Amino acid sequence: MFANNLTLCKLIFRRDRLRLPVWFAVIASLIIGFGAALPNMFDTPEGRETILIMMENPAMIAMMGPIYLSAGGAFSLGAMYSLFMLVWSAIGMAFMNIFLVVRHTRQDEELGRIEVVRSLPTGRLANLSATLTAAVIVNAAFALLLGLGLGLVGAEDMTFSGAMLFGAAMGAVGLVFAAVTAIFCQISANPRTASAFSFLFLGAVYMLRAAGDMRGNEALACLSPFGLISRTKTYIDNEWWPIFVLLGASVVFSAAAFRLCAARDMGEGLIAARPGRRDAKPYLKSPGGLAWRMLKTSFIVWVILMPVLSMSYGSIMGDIDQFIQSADFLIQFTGGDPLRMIGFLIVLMSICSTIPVLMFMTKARAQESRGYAEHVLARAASRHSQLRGYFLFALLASVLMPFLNCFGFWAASLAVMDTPFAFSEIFNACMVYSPAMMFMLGMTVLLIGYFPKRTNLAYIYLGYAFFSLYLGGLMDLPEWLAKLSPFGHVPVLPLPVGAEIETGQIVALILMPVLGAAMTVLGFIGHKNRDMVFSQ
Amino acid sequence: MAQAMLQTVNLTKNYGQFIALKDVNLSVQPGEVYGFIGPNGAGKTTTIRVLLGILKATKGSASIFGRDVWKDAVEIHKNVAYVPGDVNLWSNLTGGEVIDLFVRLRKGKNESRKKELIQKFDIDPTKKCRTYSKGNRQKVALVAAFSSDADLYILDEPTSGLDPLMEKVFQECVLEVKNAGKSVFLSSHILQEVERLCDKVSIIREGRIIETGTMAELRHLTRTSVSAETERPIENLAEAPGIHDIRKSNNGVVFAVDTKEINSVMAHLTKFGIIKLECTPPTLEELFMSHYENIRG
Repeated sequence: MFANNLTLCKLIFRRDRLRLPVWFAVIASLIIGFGAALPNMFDTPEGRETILIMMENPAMIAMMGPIYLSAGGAFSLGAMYSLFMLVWSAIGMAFMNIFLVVRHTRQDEELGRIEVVRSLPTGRLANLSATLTAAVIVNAAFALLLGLGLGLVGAEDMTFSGAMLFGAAMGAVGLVFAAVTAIFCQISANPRTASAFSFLFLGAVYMLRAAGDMRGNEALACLSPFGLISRTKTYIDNEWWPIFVLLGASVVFSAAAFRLCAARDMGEGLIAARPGRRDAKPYLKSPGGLAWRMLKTSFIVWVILMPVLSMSYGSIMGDIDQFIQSADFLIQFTGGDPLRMIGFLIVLMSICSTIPVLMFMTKARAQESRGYAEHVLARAASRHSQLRGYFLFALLASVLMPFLNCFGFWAASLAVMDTPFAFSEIFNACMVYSPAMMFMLGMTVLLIGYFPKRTNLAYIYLGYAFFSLYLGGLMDLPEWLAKLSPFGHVPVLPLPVGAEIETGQIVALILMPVLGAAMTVLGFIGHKNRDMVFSQ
Repeated sequence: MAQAMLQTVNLTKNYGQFIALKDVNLSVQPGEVYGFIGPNGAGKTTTIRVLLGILKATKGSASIFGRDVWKDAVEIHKNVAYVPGDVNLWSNLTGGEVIDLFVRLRKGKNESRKKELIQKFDIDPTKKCRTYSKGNRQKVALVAAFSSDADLYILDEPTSGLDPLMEKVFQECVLEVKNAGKSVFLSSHILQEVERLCDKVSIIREGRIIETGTMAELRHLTRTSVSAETERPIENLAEAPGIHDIRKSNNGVVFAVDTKEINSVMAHLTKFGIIKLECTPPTLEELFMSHYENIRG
């Protein structure tokens, strides 16, 4: 049953020799980086007290987890760190493990690789056991390295033993998700359903923890892996029992996965794949209809995600005054003006909501490079019509996404502020980014028209816009660096009392959509007159 | 002569320094099944993509129904059905959805024909395209092409993933549209398929058309490989007309013979008492190896 599983396990590490280090780099830089930065950001007990006041409300507890205080009731650096980082880092570990297990079990099975492996002298459970062995090794290594790294950077009350417990919690949560994903990989008949079930499980246990913690229901919260790791009270009491519960659970789940795997045929799931549509829906009859069919899912996801994101960012508006006073770097950054902080949050959300605009547009190019557009163009559809559908959805997004931001921020301000903003104030502050998004969209069309293989430059430019504004604010970089992106020309609203919008900014707001439109026209012409370019 | 359905004059396509097509001349008449054969990488797909207005010709002209393939692509495509050689389909659409989309994009609609073809080609239209094998993806494209009512069918190696049974269904479909007076432009690297279906053939190699004619005119290209075992050793075989590449095998000889000379060669062989005889048509590769390599070298 398990023959040759070690050879297969080595193969997994060989195939993921780049992917795993990248995952480690990302997770470690967040965990260790924040561990190193935190003591400098909040070096006074008073600053931490302000944060504590902000965190002591049901919404924050639902998001982050229960608050534990050190002996004597102080909100130590360690307590603050584990409150901010435990649950969210664990989510990162869960993502990594879900991807790892689905990739090496169900996905390989669909691609026909397992068939080849099974024809060799390997056991029936060899591949699953190899994958889970790899998961054990990966999670153990992460636990150890994260623990050591965090232990080395911590300030005085972030002890070495606490750091090791934090690392162990990461590894244990990772293992639970590896085992649970392994079960879903046996139940479902293809990798997509397996991932969907696994992420649904992740969402469900997160909600379970949120509900339990919010109501102070310990038992409910402890049903969730995320609830359990909060109970380690890392850096405060350093409880190890939740780690053992999680490890025990992953053994049980793994055993269940093995039982299910042994009981099923290769290529099959315990739930048969749902048959799809026999005929196409009526709207699927034109390039535009096809564009909607391609974008539908991500469109809906963004429409739900954007207001939720801006609402949760906006929720700090309630304690905005205390918040910007809580740390030196925030005072320096905002000049002590809460409106600047709010304006800054809106900039960030606006850049974030430019992502769907670019995504919808670059989808047209992806269709071309994968050879899908060939089918469309070989029929009675023009070059323009092939591009037009994606363009119109992207254009819609450049107006709709800022509006959803506005909705989120406005709803948050109604909920948490004593004197909430007028709708028009927030509306202006958010919609003012729409012209910049249109400029970005025009540039993307231009790239598709003339430099189809370089379409991703649009994302790099957006990344530049983000960093030039973000770091520019934090590090006092020269102003012209931010002016190189369209977002640097947008007036930051709501304006502080007495300030006025500069004439140059008004000109920019008019000019950006005009330039965007010009680039769009050029891009469409370029696209019409060039060869289709297949796979990059 | 009536206006050609498809015509190219000195069609040339360069990618920078690389010459993909050089002075390609083709002419497909109404009601004709036109074979376009050549080895892999010869320029068949490039030619077809130019004909469909997906790539732009560097020099020369190409027209379908008398209209320019680049400028009037949309108008032309209303009456063209196309099956690509490498069928990539949207992984998250079902086969049924793709067929409907393709048929509707041409504004044609023929439900009963579609159902009939789905049954004939034996595909499950409720499955997502990502679960289809190469052959099944090709069948989806074939169903979409043949359930639309076109005047010209452009098919790029349409049988490369099909099993012999499905190849037969495909050949029936081609003959059906031919009998209805439509034209077919069929690219292939399988000589027999072209021999069986086509009225006229062009052979392309390294971007150039090296031979064009009716199947009868190209008969000199089609050699038959013969493997023979005789009671007595065969004498004077090398002197017989149209004999090539004689090799000794275990119990006899293997050689190639020009198909037009096969009668005299058979007469020669019977003199030595045939025990066993196998004749196989040559593959395109063999044809190129024997005929064109010789011309070149």
